[in-house]
Amino acid sequence: MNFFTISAFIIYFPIGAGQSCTEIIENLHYSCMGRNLSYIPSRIPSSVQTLDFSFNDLKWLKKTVFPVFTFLRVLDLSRCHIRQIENDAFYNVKNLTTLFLTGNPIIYFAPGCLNTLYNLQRLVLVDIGLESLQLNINNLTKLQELNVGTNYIQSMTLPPFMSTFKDFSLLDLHANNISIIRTNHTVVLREIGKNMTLILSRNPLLHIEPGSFKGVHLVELDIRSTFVSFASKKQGLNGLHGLNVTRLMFGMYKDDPKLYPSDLDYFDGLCSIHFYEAYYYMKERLDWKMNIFRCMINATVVVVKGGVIRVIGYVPFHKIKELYLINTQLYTVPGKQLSHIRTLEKFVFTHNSATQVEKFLDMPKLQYVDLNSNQITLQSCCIDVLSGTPQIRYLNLSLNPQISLDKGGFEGLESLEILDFHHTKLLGIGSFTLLSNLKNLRYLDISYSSVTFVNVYCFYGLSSLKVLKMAGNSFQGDVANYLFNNLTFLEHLDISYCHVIEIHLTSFKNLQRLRHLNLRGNNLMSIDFLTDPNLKQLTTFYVNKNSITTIPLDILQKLPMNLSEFDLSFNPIDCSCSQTDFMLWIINNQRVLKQPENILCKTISPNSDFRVTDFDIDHCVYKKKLIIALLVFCVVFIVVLSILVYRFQFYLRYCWILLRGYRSPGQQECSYDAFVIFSSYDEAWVMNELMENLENGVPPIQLCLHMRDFQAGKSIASNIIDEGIMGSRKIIVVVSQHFIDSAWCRFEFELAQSRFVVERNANIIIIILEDVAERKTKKVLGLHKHLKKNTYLKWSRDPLSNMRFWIRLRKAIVAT
Amino acid sequence: MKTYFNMLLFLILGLVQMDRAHSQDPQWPLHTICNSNKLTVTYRSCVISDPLQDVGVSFLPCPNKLTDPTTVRIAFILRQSITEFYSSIKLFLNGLHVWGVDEPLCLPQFPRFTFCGSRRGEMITFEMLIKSKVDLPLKGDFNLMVHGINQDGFQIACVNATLSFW
Repeated sequence: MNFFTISAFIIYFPIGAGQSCTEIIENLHYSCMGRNLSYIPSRIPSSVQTLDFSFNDLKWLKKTVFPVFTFLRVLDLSRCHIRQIENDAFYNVKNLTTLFLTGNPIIYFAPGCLNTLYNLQRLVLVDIGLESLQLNINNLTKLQELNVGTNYIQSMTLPPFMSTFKDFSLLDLHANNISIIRTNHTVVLREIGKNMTLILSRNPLLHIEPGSFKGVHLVELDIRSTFVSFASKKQGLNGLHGLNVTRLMFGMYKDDPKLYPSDLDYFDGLCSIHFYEAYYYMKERLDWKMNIFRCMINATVVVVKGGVIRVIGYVPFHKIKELYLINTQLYTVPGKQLSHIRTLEKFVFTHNSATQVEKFLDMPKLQYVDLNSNQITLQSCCIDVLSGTPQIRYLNLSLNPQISLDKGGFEGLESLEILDFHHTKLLGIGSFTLLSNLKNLRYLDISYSSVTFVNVYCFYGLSSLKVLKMAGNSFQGDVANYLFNNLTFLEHLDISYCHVIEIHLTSFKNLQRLRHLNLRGNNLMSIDFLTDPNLKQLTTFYVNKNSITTIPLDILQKLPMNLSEFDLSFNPIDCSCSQTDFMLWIINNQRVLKQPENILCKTISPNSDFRVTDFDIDHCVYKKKLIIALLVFCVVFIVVLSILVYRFQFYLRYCWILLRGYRSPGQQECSYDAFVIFSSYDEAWVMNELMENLENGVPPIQLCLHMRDFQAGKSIASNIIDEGIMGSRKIIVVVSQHFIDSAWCRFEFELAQSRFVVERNANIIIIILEDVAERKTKKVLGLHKHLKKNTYLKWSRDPLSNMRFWIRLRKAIVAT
Repeated sequence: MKTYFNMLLFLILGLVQMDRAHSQDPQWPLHTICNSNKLTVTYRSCVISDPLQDVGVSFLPCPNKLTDPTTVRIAFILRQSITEFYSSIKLFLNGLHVWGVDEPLCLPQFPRFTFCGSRRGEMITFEMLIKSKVDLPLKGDFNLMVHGINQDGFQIACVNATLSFW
């Protein structure tokens, strides 16, 4: 195998890897969506139960396309560009219960291609170009749902064999080409019997033959946006006479471009249909005289959504339980029209233009009132308008402009369990105790109600309250520390975005059942209150977007044991090395922390995000060790430096003298002919022999001797340099055993050599006074080398040698 | 001969790899909806995390004034189901946010639009007649960003449009 083969393999592998399917559940659920595959990958195990193969490229389904998947239940082949399906195409996956073929341009359906799927319950053939319901599916006796929406089907006639499909419950024919429904089209539908849902929405119906649905029982009929014209709509409803249906959905979708005129007789057809629930998706603008509910007085659920009504008249409902009026632009909450309807249990009136509420009188069964998203302003809430509704459990007045709560406003509403005022400006509640009689209240939402709490007894009496949401309000002084004392059953408390700076240690001391505490978006700097032993049930704690920089370790160790979700994100965390305990706790407790990736360090630059979880604790440990190492190094350095200073003290003095700007020797006249470097022990020889022969000889030679010529009061080093080395033309070195042992002699000799290096003159004259072992001359730096390279004089007592010695010495000194 | 074959294989696979890299160029083509003396509208589908998808948008007809009625038609193929569907529209002028609306189009209860409840693989076509009641004398380049999210947080569709008024 050579380079090119290996390279080819390396290139090809990533391509192949990109085509593998995603394993959703090991061995059971795989997704090959959007891989442009034209075959089923072999790595799909035979145990697979759900296979998503949508958005691929199969084109032609035959038996060989699918491996044997005995356990496959759900197969999604949406948008696979399938054009032909052969017989036995699904033989190897014959245990399917759900098959999706959505969006495939199928031009050839083999007669028996689906008939091998004996266990199929759900068949989706949406947008495949189907023209008829006459499918060859007689073996699918367990079929429950058939969705053939968005096709070109012209008749809703079902094949006769489907009358034996006892489980069949949903026929979805939305957005097809059905224009006429005749009596013989619904024969099979009638035989299937009860529990059927029929969806005919968005078909261009022209005509429904009267009697077509007589005796038909349906659970749901959807005919929204189904008629091509107003006339056909009117006739169509009349054509449905005799139908029994639980849920009737009619009207028009919001995005249907058609717009029909209002007509008083439009709804007459509804009176001949027997329905329990009516869902009217309205687009029309109705005149105030029209009574759209005339044919719905026997319904138990009435929903009207959309359109324009403005005003409704009196309706003699006598079975109604639920009434929904949504987005109909009504001006007033129709309390007057609904009063005395003793069967109504639920009233939903949302997204209208109502500004006022008429009183609800004599409605003993009304439990649920939802008036959110209107323009309601109430001066005194709430018993004034709800005095006839003693059983109300749910009251929603959220998303309205303003509500004033009065003292005694809830007397008579003791059954209330859920009260919602969120995003409605509330007056009165922050200053007075107004809710004390609501013993059964479990849920209270006054979020973003512009309330400032000044009274610590605002929630007095709410002994059953479990959920309290009051985000976006504020507290005066330390009211927050006492406000919750009576809420002993509270489980969920939301005081986010309330400008809270500090919470006292005992603020939540009575909340033994608290599980969820939300303090997001405040200005807290500490969470010490969380260590209260009474908060042991707490599982969720949100304190993100506060001003917490650090939490002491002793606090972290006392957090509630059940705490499983703790949000500390978006706080200015102090990520310095003095907080390594806190950093370590965060890093080790990411399982409990919510959004740990958003726990960011406080940084100088506002653009840089540094996560606490990315903080390197080892860096701090390393830093500490580095400091210790540096200290040790400094101490060692100082000691070594001291030793070196002592060792080289003479040289340092010499450098100091030079640095003081010593004058060039050329500028100074030499005082002596020669400077004599010798040991004190050799002084006798120097005085008796050297001085006698040189200074007393002819001509006389002036010598510089340290015991005679050095200036008193001047340092020895300075004398050596000034008078000796620099003040003499020549230097005579008297080498003896004592010379070798003398530190001063070595120093002087080395200084002499340095001058020699500078001036490049052979001005050092060495006299060997006595034989010195060669190994000892090496002790003196450079002496051994000097003796090797330069001629020296050797003293001897022999008269002849002695005479030659003095002649040579004198000559050397006199030489320039 | 063997070496020649391997070199050829290397070259072919290299080209395939290059082609694949090219096909993953992270930008959809620029579409022009309107190009008149008064108004120019172009748009490009955003690059959403895999799988990618383009969106078809058209104006019929192109309005000359804001008060002229026009039908906006949007079409795309769903890659995720939309039991719930939430839209977000933001309008920018010279980089400044000037208008925006977040609207839940499909909610579980009482679905209002034809496409509510549609499943993966279905073609969504949406038409809307728009007409302004006042003829604002708009000048300059506006950036319009529209995207929709389903109940699972998947971004279903996303469009960046530029409207230039002269």
